[in-house]
Amino acid sequence: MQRLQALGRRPIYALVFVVGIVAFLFPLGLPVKIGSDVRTVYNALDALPAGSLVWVGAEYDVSSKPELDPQVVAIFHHLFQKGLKPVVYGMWLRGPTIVQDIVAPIAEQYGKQYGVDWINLGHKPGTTTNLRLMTSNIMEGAGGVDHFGKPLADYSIMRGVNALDKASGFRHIIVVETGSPGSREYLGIVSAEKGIPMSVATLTMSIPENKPYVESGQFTGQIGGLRGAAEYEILVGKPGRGASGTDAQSLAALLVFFLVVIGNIGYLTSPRK
Amino acid sequence: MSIAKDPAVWAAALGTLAIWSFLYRDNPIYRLAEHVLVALATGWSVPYYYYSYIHPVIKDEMIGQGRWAYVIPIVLGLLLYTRFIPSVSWLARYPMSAYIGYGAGYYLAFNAKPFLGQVTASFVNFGAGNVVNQLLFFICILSALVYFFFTVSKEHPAMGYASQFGKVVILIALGAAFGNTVLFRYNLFLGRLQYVLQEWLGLIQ
Repeated sequence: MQRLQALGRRPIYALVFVVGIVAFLFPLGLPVKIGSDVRTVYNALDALPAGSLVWVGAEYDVSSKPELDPQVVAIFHHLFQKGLKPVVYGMWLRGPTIVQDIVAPIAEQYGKQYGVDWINLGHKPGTTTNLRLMTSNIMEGAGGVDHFGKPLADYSIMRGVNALDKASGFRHIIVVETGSPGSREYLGIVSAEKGIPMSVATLTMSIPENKPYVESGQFTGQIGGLRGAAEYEILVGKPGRGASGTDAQSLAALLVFFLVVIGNIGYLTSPRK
Repeated sequence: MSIAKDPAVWAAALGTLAIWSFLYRDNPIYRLAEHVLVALATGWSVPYYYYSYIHPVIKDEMIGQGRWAYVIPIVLGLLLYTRFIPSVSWLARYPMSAYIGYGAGYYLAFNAKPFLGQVTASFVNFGAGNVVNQLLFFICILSALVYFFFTVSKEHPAMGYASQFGKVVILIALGAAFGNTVLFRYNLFLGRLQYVLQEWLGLIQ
C-alpha cells in the first residue's frame, strides 16, 4: 500500500488517456438521465410562441469551447426548431465570433435567413456599461451595426426592436458563460430590472456557484458542462458531441473516484502520515 | 479510418500532440508548440483589439460622429501609465478613484436586487415543497455563517458545535466545487482527444 504514495503522475496520465480512447472507440452507450435544471431551460424555451426574440449572450472564449460549443449547437437547434429569433451579443471579445461560426451552418440547415430570423450584434466595447445601454437603446449600444459592421437598420429582424426589454419582444435570455462578465451581470442589469426570464449555459466547474440562483428562481435553469450539453441534445433530438463524450466523462469520473480512494488508503496506511 | 487531408487539421492535431508531450516531461517539441501558440495568439490579438476597440471608438465614433466626450476616459486611461514615471505617478490615482467609484456605484445599483433574492430564497417556506429539505438547507446556512462569526466566543457549546458543523458544510461545498473543476479539466482534454480521433484520424464518427 505504501507504494501507492509513490505512484508518479505518468501512470495516472496514461490511465486517463487509455480510458478516454477506449470510451470513444468502444462506446458503452450509458443512459443519460435528463436533470431538472436542463429540463426547465428546455421547457421555458419550448413554451415561447414562434417569432419571440431570445437574447443570447455569447460570454466565452476559445478556452471553453470544448464544453460550451456543444451547448450552443443544441440550444440553436432548439431555437430554430421552434421558430424563435435569436439575437446574439457578446461582452466577451471573441464570443460572438465563435458563436457565428457555429450558428451559420445550423441556420442554413433550417433555412433561416440572417437578418430576418436571427442576427449577431457582435462584441461592443464597454462590457457592463454597454449592456446597461442595450436595455434602453440597442441601436446606440450596438453602434448601429451588426457583427459584420453592416447597418442594423437594413435588417428586418431589428424593426421595432428598440431596447433589450419585453416591449421590444424579448421573452428569454440565455447567457453562455465562462465567468465574469456573465450571468451575474445579466441578472442584475437586465433580468432583475426588466423582468425577462434568464437561463445559463455554463462550464461544469461553475455548476455549484450557479445552483443557488436556479434554486431561488432567479435563473430559470442551467445547462452545465458537457453533461448538460448531452442532456439538451437528447431533448432536442440532435445527439452530438455532448452525448458522444458522456461515456468518456462518466468513466473518467469513476477513474478519479477510484484514484482518490486508492490515494487515501495509501495515505492512511502509511506509517509516515 | 480516414486520415484528414486538410493541412489545418494536421497542424491542429500535431500541435495538440506536441502540447501533450509535456505530460511526459519538458522537451523542445513542447516548447516549440508553446512559443508558436503564444506568437500566434499575440499576432492575432493585436489587430483584432485595434479594429474592435481603438478604430471604431476613435475613428468612427469620436472623430466621425463628433463624440469628443470620449477624450475624458481616454485621458484617464492614459494617466494609468504615469505609474511608470515616479515624479508624476500620483496622477494614476485619479483614474483609479474613478474606476473604484464606478465599481462601488455599479455594485450598489445592480447587485442589491439579486442578493436580496438570494436572501429571501433561504427563508423556510412551510407552505411549499419539502419542508425537511428546506430546514436542512436553513440549518446549513446558519451553521456556515456561525463559522465566520468571530466576534462571539466559540467556547460556548452551542456556538462551538454550530461552528464545527458549519465547517463540515463549507468543506462539502468546496468538495463539490473541486470535483466539478476536475471534471471540467478532463472535459477540456476530452475535447482535444475527440478532435484527434475524429477530425484527424477519422477513427470515430
